[in-house]
Amino acid sequence: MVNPADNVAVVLEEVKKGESVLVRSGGRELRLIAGSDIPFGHKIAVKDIPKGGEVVKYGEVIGRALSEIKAGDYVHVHNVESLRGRGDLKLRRE
Amino acid sequence: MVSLGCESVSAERVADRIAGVKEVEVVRVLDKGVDKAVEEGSRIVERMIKDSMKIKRSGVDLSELKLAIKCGGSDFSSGIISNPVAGRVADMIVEGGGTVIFGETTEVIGAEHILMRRAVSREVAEKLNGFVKGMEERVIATGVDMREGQPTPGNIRGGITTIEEKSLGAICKAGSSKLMAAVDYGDLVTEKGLVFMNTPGREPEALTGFAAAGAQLILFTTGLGVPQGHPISPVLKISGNPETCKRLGKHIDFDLSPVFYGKESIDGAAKKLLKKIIKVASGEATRSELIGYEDPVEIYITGPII
Repeated sequence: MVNPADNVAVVLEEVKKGESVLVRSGGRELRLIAGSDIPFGHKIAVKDIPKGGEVVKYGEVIGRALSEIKAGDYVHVHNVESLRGRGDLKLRRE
Repeated sequence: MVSLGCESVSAERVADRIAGVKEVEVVRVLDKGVDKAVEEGSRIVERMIKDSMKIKRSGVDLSELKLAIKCGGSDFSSGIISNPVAGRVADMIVEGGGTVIFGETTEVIGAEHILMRRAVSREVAEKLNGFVKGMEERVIATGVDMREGQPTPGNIRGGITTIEEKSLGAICKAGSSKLMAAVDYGDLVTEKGLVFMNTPGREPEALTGFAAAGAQLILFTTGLGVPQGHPISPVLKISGNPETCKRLGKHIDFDLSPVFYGKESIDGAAKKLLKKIIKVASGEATRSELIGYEDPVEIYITGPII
């Protein structure tokens, strides 16, 4: 975890579904069960995130959840959308 | 300068400006044809190389250094290892009285509020914000979903999900010092300290902009291991992804794997990297020069090409 306020962490090893993952943040340690395979360097949810909820990394909002995310789930482009540079949203509104 | 001989930008006008600062010769392709132009150019370059060997090195203070910092081929390791290390180096150079230039306006989207807080004046903060808004508005005006281009497929494969995440990791390379100025693409930078230049993220344009600013050296963080160099300002590449450093070591000048494995602190690595930067600034060749990867070179075009 980059920041204690984050709800995602970066996995420093490839993770297989069902594996136990140890996440360290400052002095705290957290154990999660991976909900699916997670590639090296990708993100795992350390808390539940509701659909439409904010995904937080570096202590800042990095996107919005497209579907419900449970702690231990793989977090990436399949379930997170960016909120910036969205020319497509502007077209949809008009 | 190699000029076609009939283009819109006058080679003579550009050469006149250069002549005020250093020696320049112009070769025109339409004068006698391509092969004669190559012959003439080669003769001129040979002579210039011989003359340049007579130049003697002399000691210069760190405050004379203008270092540009770029990130390219970013992955998860960029925001947590190589950019933070670059940021510590940036702080050390600024503390030493030097200049650090960074840019890539697209990759500030989502993190601009953090940089604006560090601006030395309201004017600088607003200028930076203007650049970022301008970049984002240009994307939105075309009706394009930026996710089609930024983050890139390489970034996504490397674990970066959104432009916000990419930007938050990218700005780490700027360290923590005050933002002294925000300049437009290609402007010469005369300020000391940390300066932002409005550039795209794309390498050929961004590196050229930094060279035009007067950066003598470009520090380049890469997660994926891109080979980029530049013919005017040498590019020094660092990576915090141990798999990249193993597989593409021939592209990487400074390996940050010890930080990944917890064997070295970000500060410790930055001190060693600064020593390497001083060596390169004193003449040591970089990997991109050794492998000969210094193309392409582009100038940022914001208008239509007609």
